[in-house]
Amino acid sequence: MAYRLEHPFSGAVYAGLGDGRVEVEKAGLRGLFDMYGNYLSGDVRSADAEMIRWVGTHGVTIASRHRAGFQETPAHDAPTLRDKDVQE
Amino acid sequence: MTTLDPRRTDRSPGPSYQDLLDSDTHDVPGFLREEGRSDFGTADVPAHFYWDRDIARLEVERIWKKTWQMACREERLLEVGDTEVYDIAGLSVLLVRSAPDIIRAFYNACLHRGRMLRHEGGPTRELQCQFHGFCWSLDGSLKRVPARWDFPHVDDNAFRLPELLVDTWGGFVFVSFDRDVIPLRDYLGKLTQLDHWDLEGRYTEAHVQKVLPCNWKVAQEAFMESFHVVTTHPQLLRGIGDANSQYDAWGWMSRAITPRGTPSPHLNYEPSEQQIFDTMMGLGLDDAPIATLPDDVRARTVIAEATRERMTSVLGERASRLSDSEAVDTFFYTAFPNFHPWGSYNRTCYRFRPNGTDPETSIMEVLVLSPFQGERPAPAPVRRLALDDSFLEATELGPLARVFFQDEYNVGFVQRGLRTLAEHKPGVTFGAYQETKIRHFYSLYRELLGV
Repeated sequence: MAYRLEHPFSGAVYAGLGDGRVEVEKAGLRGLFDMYGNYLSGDVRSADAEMIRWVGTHGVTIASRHRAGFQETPAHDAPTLRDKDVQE
Repeated sequence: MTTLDPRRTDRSPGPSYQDLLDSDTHDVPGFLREEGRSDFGTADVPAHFYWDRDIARLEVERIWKKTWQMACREERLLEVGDTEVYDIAGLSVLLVRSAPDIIRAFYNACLHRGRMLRHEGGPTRELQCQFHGFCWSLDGSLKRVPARWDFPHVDDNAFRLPELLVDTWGGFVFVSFDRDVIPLRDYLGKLTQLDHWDLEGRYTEAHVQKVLPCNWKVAQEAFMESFHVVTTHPQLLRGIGDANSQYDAWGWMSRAITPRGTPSPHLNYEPSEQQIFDTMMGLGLDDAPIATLPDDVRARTVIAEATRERMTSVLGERASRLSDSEAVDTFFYTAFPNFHPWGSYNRTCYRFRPNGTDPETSIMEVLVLSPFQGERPAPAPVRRLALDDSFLEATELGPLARVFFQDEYNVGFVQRGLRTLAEHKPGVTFGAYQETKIRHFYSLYRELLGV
């Protein structure tokens, strides 16, 4: 399933397709962009490049260090919290 | 909760960091209540500072040769014979654990023909030049001269390796080319408040070094304020009080504190506590909820409590005393000129350097400094990323890899834009408050350079 995030200002929905591409939906229109924010196709021809860079790389690492406190972690892994709690 | 005096026009609307401390569920360390200087004028900073080779040469003479610099983590020099190399602006320093309780820093050049004695760290029994074999003991005394008969003019005492000043703090090794520099602890000043979070008792879980297409000052300035979050990291805005950050400076150091679990005042609506929580969890629209917050519960408080519980496994009982702020907020410090350790258990530490003598590229380093229990883990090897590599490759940085992927989108274009800017405007215009740390930097920089 695509990872979808709402832009906090415009309300446009950014959907990471899992291959680096991001589909942006604004007011019923859609556009496709690469992970660097470059337009590829569709009716939406401009979007927030930094939002695209975030959503388009969703599969690379987890999104938030603050999530660490809510995750089950084996005891032997607890001291380092590796990859789970680095501050963004 | 109180909010900032609405009549005060030189600060953002919304709750200040100090307002948030008033509602903390735990005792707050006193130094977080302190406020330092934040008035460093409003003068522009000349754009040519970022590319001018004469300025870069001045920086070598009046900054790099005059100030304390973080050279490495002490954990890389644990055993006698361990070495590390610190290169700065065309100069090279060789750090050596020469005795169980002595770290020395030598000018990293053979006194025969000038070859670097070492080009990277690692263990050794002696310091031998790989060219002709001149050799020094770990304490810097001349040990061996090949074809000694050919060097009757070499006096052993005069051929001792010249040394720099060395001191340590917080598990870091500092060096100074200037032997008359003020004592390290006086230089660090209030930066030593980081002792509260025991940086010495950390190990380097990750260490990434990347060449950036910009001057070293452009690079570090991108990490000295939260002003850029509104545009560069929009995914955070429902859970970060970016414009409500507090900025302070004292002596040679500065500090920024950015509150989390509180919305950005840039938003024109008030997110629910559930939205704030989901944002801080990094949840997408279709992700299963991690927790459902009751109406009267604050996301900030819930996350702080979970973080305290989580940290107990590594901090023990100390974790239960962490304030909400320490558990949730972001603390980023700077010691002039280029050392940026973060506070609490955010674990991040930056260092920025010129890339050799090139004023238009630089080296950014990120260290993840983690607490541990039991035997000290070995420090992570350095991952070196070239100019064309992306931080995305450094997945050991966790979410930071993607955050830096957003940041790296800017810095090269800043460098390229500065020359165009200077065609009609001689300098860059920093904010009066949100870019306090940068203005503080330039107050020291311009005084040292005399420009």
